[in-house]
Amino acid sequence: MNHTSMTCKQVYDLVMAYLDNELSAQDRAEFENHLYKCCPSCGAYLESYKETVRLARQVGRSVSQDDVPPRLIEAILKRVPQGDDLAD
Amino acid sequence: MAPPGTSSAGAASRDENEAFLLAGLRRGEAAAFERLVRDTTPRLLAIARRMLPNEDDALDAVQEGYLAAFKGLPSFDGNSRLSTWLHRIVVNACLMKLRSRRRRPERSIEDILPKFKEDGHSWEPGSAWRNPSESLEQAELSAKILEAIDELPENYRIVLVLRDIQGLDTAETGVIVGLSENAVKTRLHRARQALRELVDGRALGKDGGND
Repeated sequence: MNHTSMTCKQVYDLVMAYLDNELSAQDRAEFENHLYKCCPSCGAYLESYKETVRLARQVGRSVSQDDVPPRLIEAILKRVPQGDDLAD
Repeated sequence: MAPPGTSSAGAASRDENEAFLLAGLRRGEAAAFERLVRDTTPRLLAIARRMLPNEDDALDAVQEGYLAAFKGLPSFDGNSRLSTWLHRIVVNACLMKLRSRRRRPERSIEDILPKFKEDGHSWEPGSAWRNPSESLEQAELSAKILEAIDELPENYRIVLVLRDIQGLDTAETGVIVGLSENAVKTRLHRARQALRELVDGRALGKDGGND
């Protein structure tokens, strides 16, 4: 493995900023140079990071449809403030 | 009660709808409260379920959060969105419950994060991460991902839940958890890194991890 000035740890630390397009042009160039010319394992790390985020978001889509027990809604609505309760 | 201005989409329409709802709440309209509760409970309960392992605790936290919100409504200053304010109250209710019932010490995030040699390079160049979706069926995969999220330290789990599970943006997450946007980004990144380690198919043990 032929490393550049950017270390694997620096690459790991910058993965999210890279994916969010928040790196400076120079950092982005060094990041990509490390990944694509020097260190395939960091390239694999980037892909596995992206896949982890995808899996979490996929789970998020399913849990956002979670059932809400009707008794919870009823219990909350029973405690809705009335008239004077809302006065400052 | 019909929401106004359904012709325009996006943030302006959302703000207009929220202002209309808030006005109804402040007038004590039962329909406004019912709309608020029915619209926001699913997301708030999903967050509570991710923060609290016990279902009854999650239901209690949501209920307690709404009661606190109803009580605090006259002093809501409108500086954040109503839903953000509600999220913050429910997250705080979850944290209080969690801290009163903690049964086991949390793992340190540093224990989970990747390790490096002194020169900053990886210990295991070329070691393969095994995508858990290659060996697990969808239902089992979702369960494993949720279990892994539950293993994250609380301060990291809540940020990941709000950003990646609930899809809130960085600014809104910062308001809810009381962090700057930069701090939210740092925590989210570390939470994702830790989650990656925890969901590695090799660690999940389905197929032994032999490459």
